[in-house]
Amino acid sequence: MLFSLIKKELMMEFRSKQIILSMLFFGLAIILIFALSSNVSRVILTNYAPGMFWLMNLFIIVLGVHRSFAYEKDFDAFSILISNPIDRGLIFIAKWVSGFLFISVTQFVIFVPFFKLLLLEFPENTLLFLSTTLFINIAIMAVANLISGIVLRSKFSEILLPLLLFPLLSPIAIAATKISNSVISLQPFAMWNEWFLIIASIIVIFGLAGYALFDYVVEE
Amino acid sequence: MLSVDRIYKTFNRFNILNGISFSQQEGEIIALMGKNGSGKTTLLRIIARIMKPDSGSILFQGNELLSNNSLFRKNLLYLGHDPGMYSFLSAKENLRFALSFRYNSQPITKIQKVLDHFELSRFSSEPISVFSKGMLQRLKLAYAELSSWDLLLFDEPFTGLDKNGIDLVGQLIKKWRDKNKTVIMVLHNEHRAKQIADKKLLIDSGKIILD
Repeated sequence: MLFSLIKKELMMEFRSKQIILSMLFFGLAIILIFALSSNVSRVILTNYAPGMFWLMNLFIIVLGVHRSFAYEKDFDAFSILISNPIDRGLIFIAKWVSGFLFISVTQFVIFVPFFKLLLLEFPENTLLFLSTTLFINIAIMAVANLISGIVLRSKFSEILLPLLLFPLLSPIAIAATKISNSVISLQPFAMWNEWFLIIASIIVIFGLAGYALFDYVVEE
Repeated sequence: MLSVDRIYKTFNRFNILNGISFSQQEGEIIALMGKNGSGKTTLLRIIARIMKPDSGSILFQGNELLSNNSLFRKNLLYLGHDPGMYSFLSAKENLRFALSFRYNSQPITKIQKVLDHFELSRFSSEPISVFSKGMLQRLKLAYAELSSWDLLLFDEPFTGLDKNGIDLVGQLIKKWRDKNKTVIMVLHNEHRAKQIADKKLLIDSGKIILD
């Protein structure tokens, strides 16, 4: 069942290309704004780069997650889906996994333009930078999909989603910025392990909460 | 088989369902009727556990449908107003996806044959976003035909269908009756309800006034 749900998410995106393309163009537009409007030295910009990177990510994630749930509203597909004899928590897991894949693909494409357009050096330990980014994506997507599921039935979901999501994502954004900053400045793991643990805790808490609560939150 | 007991539902302090109770025997076909906004769709969605009632209980095959055990819904199929499928996927893909959650359904290889029967095979690989209302309704019928169920909740089965389509629904209902299947359908046409249904439930002001 989980495989069918994930396959459906991927097929929908493969057909429509709406999630990844909209996130990609919006992300590139933000990078361009940052690049054209910043008039500070490279040292200052390097310090701010992780914050800018995660700020951009928050914006594009709201767009992507909203689109992912908007598909479900078309033709009232979600109602039929939840009326089926399936564990509704699996719908959350499928959205979580597919959302993680979509945001990760987008970030991989955006990664190069971000550093190039802001005239920044690539992180020396690019692999660590990317793997920590992937880890943070798991946490962000757990929170984003749970909140999207909660606001899905609301008529004002477009407004409610960012209103509820941004405050909840703030701790992740702070921890993510600290982690990325530490990775870029080659600090040892001991210096940023507490931020890493915060992200790990959020994954566990929101992952379990999403799986357990999705059954109730998606009912009208 | 199905026992609906004192279902209450309020929207914005407006009582949509005001203690609805009825029971249905196996093989019985019920026509749910009433004015627009009387709560027919709400009742079907509550039975399918898409919507949460304020209070009440629904027993289906001896199990409480309002509990969170999804297996209690394995013999129940809900077909709403809308197609309930994904606009970017084709008819075949939608059916394959929907059937993957149904227990004991027809083999997936039968999809093409059933789409043929409902005159949809020509468009079976097109995304359903290009389908007309009648075609989407036929697609729902194909889904009902391929799925395994004991209780079907069907919201306005005749909507958007041409003469051929209406005949197809008639044939299907006859087939369901022969197989002793249980159906609740929302209907607006009194004459049709008399022809098809064993029992007519008229909902008004959130209560059943004719049983």
